[in-house]
Amino acid sequence: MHPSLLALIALSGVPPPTPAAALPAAVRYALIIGNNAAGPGQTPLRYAERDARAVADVLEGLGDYPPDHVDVLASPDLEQVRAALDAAAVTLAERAEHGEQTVFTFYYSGHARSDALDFGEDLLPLGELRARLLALPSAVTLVVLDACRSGAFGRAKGAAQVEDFSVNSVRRLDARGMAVLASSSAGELSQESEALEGSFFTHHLIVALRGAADGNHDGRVALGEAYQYAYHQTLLSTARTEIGRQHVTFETRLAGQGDLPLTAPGAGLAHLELSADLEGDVMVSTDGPGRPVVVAELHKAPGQAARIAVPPGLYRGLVRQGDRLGECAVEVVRGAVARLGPDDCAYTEVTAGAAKGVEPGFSWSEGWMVEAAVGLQTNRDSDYTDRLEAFGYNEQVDFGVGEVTHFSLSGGKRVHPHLSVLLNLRTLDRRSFELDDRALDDPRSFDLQSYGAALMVRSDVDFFNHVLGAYAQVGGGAVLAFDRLEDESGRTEWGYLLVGGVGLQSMPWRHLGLFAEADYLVAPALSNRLGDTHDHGGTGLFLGLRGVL
Amino acid sequence: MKTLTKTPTGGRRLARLVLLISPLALLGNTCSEPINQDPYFEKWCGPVPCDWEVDEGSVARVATWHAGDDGLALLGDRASISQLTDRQTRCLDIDLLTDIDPDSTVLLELDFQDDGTAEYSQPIDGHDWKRLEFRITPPTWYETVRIRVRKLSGGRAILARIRVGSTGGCEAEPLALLERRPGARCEAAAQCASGVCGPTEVGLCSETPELVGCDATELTSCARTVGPASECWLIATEDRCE
Repeated sequence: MHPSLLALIALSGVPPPTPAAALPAAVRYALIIGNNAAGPGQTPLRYAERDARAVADVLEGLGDYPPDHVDVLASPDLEQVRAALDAAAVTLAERAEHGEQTVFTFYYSGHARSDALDFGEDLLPLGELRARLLALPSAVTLVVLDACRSGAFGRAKGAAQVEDFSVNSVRRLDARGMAVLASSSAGELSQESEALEGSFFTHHLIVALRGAADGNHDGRVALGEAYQYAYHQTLLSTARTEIGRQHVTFETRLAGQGDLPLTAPGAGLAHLELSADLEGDVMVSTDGPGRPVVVAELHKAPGQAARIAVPPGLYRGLVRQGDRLGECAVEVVRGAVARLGPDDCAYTEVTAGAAKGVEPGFSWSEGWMVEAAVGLQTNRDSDYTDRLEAFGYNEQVDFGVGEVTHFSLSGGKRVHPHLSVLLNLRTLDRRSFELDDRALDDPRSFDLQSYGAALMVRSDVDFFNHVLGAYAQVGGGAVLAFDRLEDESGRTEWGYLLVGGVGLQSMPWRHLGLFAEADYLVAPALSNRLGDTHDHGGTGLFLGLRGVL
Repeated sequence: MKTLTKTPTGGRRLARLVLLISPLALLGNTCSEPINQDPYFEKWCGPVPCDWEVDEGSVARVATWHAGDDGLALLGDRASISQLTDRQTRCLDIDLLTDIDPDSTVLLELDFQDDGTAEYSQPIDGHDWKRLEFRITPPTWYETVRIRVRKLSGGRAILARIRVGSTGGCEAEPLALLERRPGARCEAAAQCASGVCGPTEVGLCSETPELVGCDATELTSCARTVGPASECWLIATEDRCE
C-alpha cells in the first residue's frame, strides 16, 4: 500500500475498535529506520526508506501508535541512530516513572553485515544494538530487521539472557521482554522486489499486519500470526528469485501468557476480503499517485478467506493459477467488506514468456572483489615439446615469469551468499628452447608463451565469521598462445581453457583478505605442422590478496 | 655420444629443474664433434642444399615441424644426396631424423675413399620423424668418406637431420676397406691393392715387394718422428730404403 493511503487510515478517523479488536492498553513508541545508502562494496537499495514509511503508516493506522510516537529516520548516519535510541530510552524511562507500560518497536530496513548494521561508512554492531535495546525500560521491545543475514542478531556478542532484562512491572500486558523478527536467516540475503517496490519481507509483514495474518479472525494480528504469515509468504515469493529462498526468523524472549497483538485491522476503515474459494498467486493493486501501487501479493490457499484493511477505493486483482491468469476488479467502500472471488475474474491463458522471472531489484550484500596472486605452476610436457626435443631443441630454464613463476588476476562479484562469479586472467606458459649444436653457425632459439582468461564460478563456505573459509571453483575460457622461431614473426593461436581448483581464504580485514589456492588447468593451444598440440596447463599453487570493494 | 641431450619426456618438471641446477649440468655440452657440413639443411642454393650434392633424381625444400625449420625431400622413385668429408675419426656417430614412408626403401651409405663402393649400407626405417642413431667403427685407414642417402623406391622420404660426428666408444670391428693405395695403413696384405702390407710394426701398404726388406727399425723410428704413415712412406722409400 502506498504510504499516503495508509496515512489516510490513521488521519481520517478510524472507527472505535470493537472489544475483540482492541489492543492491550500500553503506550507505544517506534523507531523506524529506512536506509537506502550503501556501504563500501554494496549496491544502494531502492526501497528501504519506502518500506520504513509504509511500516510507520501501518503501525500508526492499525497498531495504535500515535504519529508523534513514531520516529522515522531516512538513511540516517550512525550518530543520528544512536541519538534516536538515546531519546527513546529517555522517553520510555519517563513513562516508566509514571507507572505506564510501554511497547517499543525498532524497525530497520537496509544493508547489514554478519555482525553489524551498515550506515554508510559506519557500522552499528549488533552487539551494541542488542545491548541498547535490552536496556530500554519498555515492557515489550519488538525488533524487526529487514536486512541481509539479520538472523544473526540473536547470536550477537554481548547478548544478555532474557532473565537479565530490566523491565518495569507489567500488569496490563500479557507478555514482556523482547521479540525479534528478522527477514532472513544468518547467511541469507534479503531481497527487494521491483514488482512490489519494496522488500519481500516488509511487504508480507505489512500485508500480515493489515489482517491477512488474522488466522483466528479475532480482528487482531498477533506477533505469532504475523510471523507465520510473513515466513510462508516470503519463502514462497523468494523461492522464485535467482537469489533463492529467504527464511524469516523469529526469536522471542517474551515472558507471560498469550501472543502479543500488534495491530487491530478489524477496526480498519474498509476491508477487502479474498474469498475462501479463491486460489493462486494473488496480487492486489490500486491506483497510486501517477501509477499503480501493489497493495498485497500473496499465495492464497483455498478454504479460508483472507481479509485486509485497506482504504476505500477501486482495487484490481491478478490471480495466477498455473497457466491461467485472472484479472479482477472490486470496489472497496467505507465501512464495508468487499469480497473478491474467482467469479469476479476474467481468465486468460498465460504465454510461456510471461512467466515471472528473476526479481531484478534485489541487493547483494557484498560487492566487487579483486584478487591478485603469485604462485608456482608445473608446466606440462606434451607431444609438442617431445617433438621439439626430437628435433634437437632443449629447454632453457630461467625461472622467469611464466616459466615457473605465474601471476593471476581476478575480478568478480558475489551473486549469492555462497556463490561468486569471477573473470580470471593468468600467465600460463613461457618456455624457451634452443637448438645448440657446433654444426650450426649460431644456436637456434624457439619460444612459446601463453595467457589464459576464464570465467570462474566459485562456491565458498565461511567459518568463524570470515576468519577462515574454503572454496572450490571451476571455470572455462580461452588460451592465447604465441610462438617464435629465431627472429621470424611468430604464430598466434587460440585454444580453450578449463580450470578447477580449491582454496582456503581468510578475510581478517573488512576490505582485504588472503587466500591460498591450488589449481589444475587444461589449456591446449598451439599446434605444430605435424599435428602435435601443446597443453599450456599444469598444476599450480598460488598465494594472493583479495580486495573487496 | 649423441649430440643432443635427450630431456625426459613426460617427466617431472620440477625434477628436471633440480637436475638442471645440479653440478653435473654445469659440465657443459657433451656433443660429438661434427664432421659434416649443414646437417640440418639450413643453407639452400636455389632448389638444392648448398653443402650437399644431388647425385641422382631431384630433391625439394620442405618444412618439417615448423614452417621455419626446413628439411629435404627425396622426390620420385630414385634420388640420392651425398656429401664428401675428409675429416677422419676412429668412431662415427651418425644421427638421423627422418620421416620415411614404411613402404619406401632408403639407404644410408658410407663410401670410404669415394671410390663408388659403399663400405657401409643401412636401410633407414625412420617414419613419423623417428630419430635414428648409428655408431660405426670406420676402417683403420681412410682419407675421405662420402655420406650418402639413397632412395630406391617411391613414397615419402624427408630428411630433417643427417649429423655425422666424431666420438669415442666404438666397440665394433672396423669396417673393411680394401684396395688401399701404397702408403696406406694396413693390418693385412689383403687390404692393400698391391697385396703387400709391411713392414710388420708400421703396417703400410707397399707398392713393391722389395719394400718388405726395408729396415724395420728405421721405418718405425721414422713413423714415430715424422707422423702420418703416408708421409713416412715417402721418406722411407726415398731416403732410407733405396
